[in-house]
Amino acid sequence: MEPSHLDLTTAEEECGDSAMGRVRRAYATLAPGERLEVVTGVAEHLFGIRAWCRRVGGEVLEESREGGCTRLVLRRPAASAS
Amino acid sequence: MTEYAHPEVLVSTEWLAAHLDDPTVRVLEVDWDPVSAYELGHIPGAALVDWKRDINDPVRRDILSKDQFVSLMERLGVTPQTSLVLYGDMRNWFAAFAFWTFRIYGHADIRLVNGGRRKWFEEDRPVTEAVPAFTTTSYPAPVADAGIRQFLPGVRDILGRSDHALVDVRSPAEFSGAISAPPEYQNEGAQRSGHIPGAVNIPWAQAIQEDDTFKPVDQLRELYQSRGVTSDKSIVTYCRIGERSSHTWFVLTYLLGYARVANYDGSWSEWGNAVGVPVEKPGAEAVTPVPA
Repeated sequence: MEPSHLDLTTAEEECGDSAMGRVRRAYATLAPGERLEVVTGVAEHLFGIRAWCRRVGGEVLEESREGGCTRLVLRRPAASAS
Repeated sequence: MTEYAHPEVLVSTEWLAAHLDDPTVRVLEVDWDPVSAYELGHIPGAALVDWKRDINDPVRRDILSKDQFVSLMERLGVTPQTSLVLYGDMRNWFAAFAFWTFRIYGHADIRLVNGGRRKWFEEDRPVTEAVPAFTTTSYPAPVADAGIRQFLPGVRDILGRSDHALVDVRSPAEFSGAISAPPEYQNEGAQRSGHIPGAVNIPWAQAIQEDDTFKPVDQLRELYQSRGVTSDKSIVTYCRIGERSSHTWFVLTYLLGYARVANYDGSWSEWGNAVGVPVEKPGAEAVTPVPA
């Protein structure tokens, strides 16, 4: 099954949810074992995603650089918090 | 290139890195969402200022009161002589709001980190989860200066006046009325969408560069002057709840040196819900309010 996709490279002009807030909301919709692909070009986001995954027990399965962006694949384990 | 009008209100990440242990400096991270920012990691020695809890009155819609401001400063170990160095999440919007609020209550030495949290992380500088503790101070009650704040009646009074300019710093989609608030912010929605008549749309982000630092002064001057936002006018900035417009208020006041700039923090979440105020919405028929 393809992972859900979240692109954090879009503009933040509208004062919507924070990048990490969007990650948390998208992650919360995952069933155990499902994956979330996140793309960002911002080091602050990368730090936040890694730190938050450590905190809630989320797994960072993959991390790769593509152009100026980093692609992460997260997985929600069977008994993680959100 | 000439210098900003008040360069002393900006510090670089390099400057901050060299002053982390400076006892005259209090570094404050001002977050809208501390769980997604400060709690995961912050600049060593920085204390959290939670925008919702610390900068706003918890019951009525207003900024913190004078007494609440004094309590906050005392809890953070701040005296009137302390240099407050602000940065925060959401690209410094809420740090700029705190700057504006603390200025209302007269704190003298406030500085904003140019590029903010995003630049600090981009430069791979040290980060910690440790929360600092401070000795409580005694902070004298200030005299509030509301001259940099605008309220709805004041905005209504300046409509159509050529000696004033209204700057709507929201996105073009918000300005045009295509949206009034993102769906995740249900309590920031409005009954009507569009903008205040006569306002010019200069989104806040046009004042910054790719790394979130402010554009050079000549580019900023061109940006605002070309849209009729000139230093001879009284300027009012607004957005949806007043935090993005604090960012532009900061630019106009301190980087360009405009003498009369006020932030309308009621912003669209007040104007778009108010009964009887005029609204401009491209493509929609203008509605003239019925006289009382």
